[in-house]
Amino acid sequence: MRYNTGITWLYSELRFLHRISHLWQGGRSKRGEAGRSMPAEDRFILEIFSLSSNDEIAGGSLHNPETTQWERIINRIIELGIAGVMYERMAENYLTVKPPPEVTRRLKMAAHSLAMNNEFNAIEGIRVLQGLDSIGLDYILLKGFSYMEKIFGNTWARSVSDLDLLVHQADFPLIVDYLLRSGFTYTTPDGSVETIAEIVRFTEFSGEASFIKKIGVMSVNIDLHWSIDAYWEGYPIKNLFPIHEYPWWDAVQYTTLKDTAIRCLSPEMQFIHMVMHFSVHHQYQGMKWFIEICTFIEKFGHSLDWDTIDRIVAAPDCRKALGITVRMATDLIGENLLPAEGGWVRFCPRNSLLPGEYLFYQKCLTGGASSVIRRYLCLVMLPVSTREKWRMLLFILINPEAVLEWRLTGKKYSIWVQPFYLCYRAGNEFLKRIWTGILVKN
Amino acid sequence: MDRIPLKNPQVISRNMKGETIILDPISGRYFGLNMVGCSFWDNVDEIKTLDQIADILLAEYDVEKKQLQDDLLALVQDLAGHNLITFKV
Repeated sequence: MRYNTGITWLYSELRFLHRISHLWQGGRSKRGEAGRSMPAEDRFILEIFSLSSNDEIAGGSLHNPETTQWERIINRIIELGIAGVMYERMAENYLTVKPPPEVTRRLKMAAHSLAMNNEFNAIEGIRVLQGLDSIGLDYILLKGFSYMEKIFGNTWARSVSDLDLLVHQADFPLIVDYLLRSGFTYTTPDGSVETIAEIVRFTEFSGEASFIKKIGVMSVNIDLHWSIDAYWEGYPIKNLFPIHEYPWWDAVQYTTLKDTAIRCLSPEMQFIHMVMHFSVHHQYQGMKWFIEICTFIEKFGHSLDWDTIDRIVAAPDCRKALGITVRMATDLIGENLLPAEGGWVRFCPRNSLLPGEYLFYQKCLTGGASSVIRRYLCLVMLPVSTREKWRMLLFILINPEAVLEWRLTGKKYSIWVQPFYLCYRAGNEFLKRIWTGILVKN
Repeated sequence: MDRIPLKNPQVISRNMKGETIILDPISGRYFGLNMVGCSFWDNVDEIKTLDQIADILLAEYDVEKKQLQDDLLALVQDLAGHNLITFKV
């Protein structure tokens, strides 16, 4: 075999790339880099994904960006946490539009960084799951690793910032106890909650608790959920989207993560969870989840039991959210990958949306940085009935429970403050986007 | 060359398309090994000495023994310097 004298090389700069990719994960964006809007880059990323999904020759239909544009696109891919899947897709031979070699190298390094970070999370996560198994505590691994190997063929397609576990509410204190004994600490906004009883009480409204364990400079994060989207407790949206009532614990299956058997949702429930997480929880903002949904449909669209999905997702508002997501996915990867009778129309009839509403949801996806304005607008638009839309709007305008920052910190304000506060948030975001836009142009 | 290299049990490594990536969670640093480095890493098994590993690589690659030994020693020093390997005592 050919021998290369350069026997080793170091990835010292990968630490930096790794940090950048985390700025955007889980909506934990920071000021500056993350405040920048990048719709053009987002659209280009989706185009590359679409062309590689359709097995087309991409050269004719995709313009070849200049080096500086490629750098912005690759930076955006890294920030979105999808370096793995995009590196794989862009390496395919049929994609004739390719970035310059130095930009490709940067993407490759980011993919490697992401892979090792995921590897670390997977190894530490498996330790926790095996520990829970050994003391007879039940769990379901949600999202991320529970299907990544199946749909992408690897565990490094996209970044996994934490492991989400669905547990029984009755087991919650026992699992908290296990995690604390295993070196994890509970993460709260102010760090004041420490005992198991306090943690249980603190999670009553959110239905979930986050734990972190530091190993050197790395950390592994576990999110415990005893309810799916209990987050919406008190919101009108909770009744419209009764996601917590779905049969999550029925038909639990086993999958393997690094040769270890772990419990996960059935494919149909996984699909419902992915869609509801993307559409209702993140209001169609989150490229990595959307790409995951598209890839899931590519792989399992033909084998999914769509009648079961149809039966479970019965509430009109849930059907609408699912229909819009599937429509967005099929617009990207093609209708033929969705064998469900009637396609997305089965869940969301064409005439059920307001003029421009679908375009708005598409903008949510490709509009760049996560936006509070789009978040609130989406919550108002999503309900099917006009009455519920108004109810949601009034709730957001005058009910302090609607403002998540107030809710998390327990602050109480007069209802008269709220509309002004929301206007301030919207104006602040608007100005920041204009300002960062000017900076980017310059 | 008669020493037996040991992998630091805390480091995580995986092979990705012919390259081995190593992560040291304590420092948070990532390291990449090319195909030759990857062959070396795969042969670090708490049993083989550096000499034995060099013989295996010599059979695998088209290279002079002296050059391989020099490169291998440089690699081992690099890896030990970053706390990725130690030696059996």
